Amino acid sequence: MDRNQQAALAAESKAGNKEAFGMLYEHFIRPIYNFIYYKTHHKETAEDLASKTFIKAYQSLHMFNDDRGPFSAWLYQIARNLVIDHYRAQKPLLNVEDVWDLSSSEDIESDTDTKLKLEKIKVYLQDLSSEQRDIVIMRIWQEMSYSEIATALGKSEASCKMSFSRSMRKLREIIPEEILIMLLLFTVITRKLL
Amino acid sequence: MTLNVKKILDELYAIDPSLRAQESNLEKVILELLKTKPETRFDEHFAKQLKQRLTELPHIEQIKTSKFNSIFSINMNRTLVALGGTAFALLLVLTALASFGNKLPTLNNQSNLSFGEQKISRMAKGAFGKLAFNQAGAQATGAADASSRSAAPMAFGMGGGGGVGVAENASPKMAGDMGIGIMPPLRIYKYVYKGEPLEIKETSLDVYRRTPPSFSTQDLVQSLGRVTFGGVDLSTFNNASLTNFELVQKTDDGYIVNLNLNDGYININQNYSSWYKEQCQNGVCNSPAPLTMSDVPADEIVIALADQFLKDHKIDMTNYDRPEVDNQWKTYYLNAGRVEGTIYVPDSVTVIYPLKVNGKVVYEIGGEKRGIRVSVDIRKNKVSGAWNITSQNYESSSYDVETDATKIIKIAENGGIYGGPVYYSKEVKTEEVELQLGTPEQILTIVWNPQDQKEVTVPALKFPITNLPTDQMFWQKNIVVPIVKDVLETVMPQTRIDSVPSVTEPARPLILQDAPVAKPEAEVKR
Repeated sequence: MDRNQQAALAAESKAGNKEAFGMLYEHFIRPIYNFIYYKTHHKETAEDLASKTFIKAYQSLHMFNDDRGPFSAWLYQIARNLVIDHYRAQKPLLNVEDVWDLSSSEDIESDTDTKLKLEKIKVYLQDLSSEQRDIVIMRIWQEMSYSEIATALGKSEASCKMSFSRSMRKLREIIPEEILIMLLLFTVITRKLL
Repeated sequence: MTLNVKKILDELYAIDPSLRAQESNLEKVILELLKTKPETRFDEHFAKQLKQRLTELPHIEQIKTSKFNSIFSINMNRTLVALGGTAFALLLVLTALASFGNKLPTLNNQSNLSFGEQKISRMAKGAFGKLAFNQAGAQATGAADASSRSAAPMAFGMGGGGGVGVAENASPKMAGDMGIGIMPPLRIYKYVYKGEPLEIKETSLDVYRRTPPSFSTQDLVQSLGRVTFGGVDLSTFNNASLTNFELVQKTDDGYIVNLNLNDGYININQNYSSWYKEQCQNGVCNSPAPLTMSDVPADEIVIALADQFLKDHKIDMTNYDRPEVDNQWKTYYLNAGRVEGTIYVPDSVTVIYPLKVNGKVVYEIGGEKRGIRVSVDIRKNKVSGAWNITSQNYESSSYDVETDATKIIKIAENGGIYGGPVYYSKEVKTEEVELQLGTPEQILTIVWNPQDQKEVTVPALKFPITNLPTDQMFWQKNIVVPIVKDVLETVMPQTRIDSVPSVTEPARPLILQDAPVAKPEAEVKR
């Protein structure tokens, strides 16, 4: 769905056309839910915050203005802010913006299988800033283009690209050699099997 | 190295060429990130429940805080003008201004804003420049993975068009909406051409581009500038033009008419609170009772209501084909095996009046017809809105078309220009289903040209799917392939990859779990 389609549907939604909002919902519910899940690692929390995102978007449609950015960007901003609010309400004394900022002992809400899967990599991603992580998550896990990432985060495309390259360089430096060797072995074995 | 990893690396090297020296390690980092990508366990049941909840929310009417808005809240019976003809007179605004004692300005009589008679101006060959299919836009919005195959509006509650690739067409067989279901095998659709031998005789065909209106509203703006609105002096904004305005009927079952003079279109929506005011109090509207299938009128009745509305408001239908009711929402539920009581019946049914340009019907790239859409409110048996009433001034220019039928059939068999690789995990069971494509018909379709940020209407072939699945939701009826060479050149590689790279997101979980009810806000840990 391109920007013009989003704008047209948003305009119709503003005027009371629920079918139009339904189309926007159908298009964005999964990516928004996934985005929130990647920042919370907890299914119920992700569902709760995704619900709040769309309800807030629907109730604030009159405030949406396509001149300031596409509908998708506005939606991502709502989602991102809700995640930040969620964690700040939980940990008001800490500078926590999402689950990545929590240590394992503090992170009691995450789904167990996700926690186990991300155990090793979390240590390294925690070293990145919240924004750098978002860019890495959006680029690699959500396969968003830099243009989309830029509008979702309210930044320029150039700064998102720079941030991503710095994050990758940092990850390359901090991920221990033994992990890379294991990955190398994994890749070799997998290729042989294929 | 997978296509995705290579792309990420190439982008990195473009940003920082020195990273190329670390390619093997960077590849491993990316692979590790991909490998550890969590399974988000997206729950369709949750999505449906939320959608239902959203439909029950009242529409929040825009808060009108300025006098400017109230000027346009005028008696529509007195001032609403016929939509059509060769010039669009802004009598409503002039009437409003007259109440302020100003001399009435007139619209430039040279305007080319016509919603009636279709005018096509012939231009030189290739006058619109090099056309390009908006592949980057398609990728960015996920369309390149075949997730979004139609830009046409669909009935609320249908769920078509969302999701990733062909996986979305599979639906779990469940008893009602609750309970545990086992996902059926992932259906991989294989399109096979079974039509007549194809031959494209023309080497070039016309492409059309709708032209924006070119009249001046300066006089009008200057007159508005003589009026002070809440302390703002509009005359201080030099060289301004009026591009958009809205008329609001505050009568029972009134409408909101939005006119975009810049792009030349009109949308008409119901003024919701005036339609259901018995359910609305102090700006909060209660939801009416759900509808059933027996509440839905026959197609003939719906079309008659739509026809009468267009006639009452003198909307010129010269350039539109015979109307059809959009019943895809019904097909969606009936194919899914739903029974009465589990089907969500929308509040309104849509009638489509397909647009014709130079006598040919225009389709969206996903195969749906483009045109005026009239929504009929089932509860009130009344039209609740009409959209895509567009101005009818076009330019045409000749462009070379692809004459190699084999190439075009190959694109069609790949699912059209949005077709592409299908990724799924080896663990997922798959089932290949052959969909047959019949002999195509030459049509026009809409393509977004990123070069000048405008839509162009291009010649295309529409391949009908002759054996549509009837046991599940499948909304696409045609595969549309534009045949202009410029457009086809920019379509992404058509290689289908039906195996899995070493790290790929599974299409969806195989076992669904009972979706827990979202915790009430008070219980959420803070």
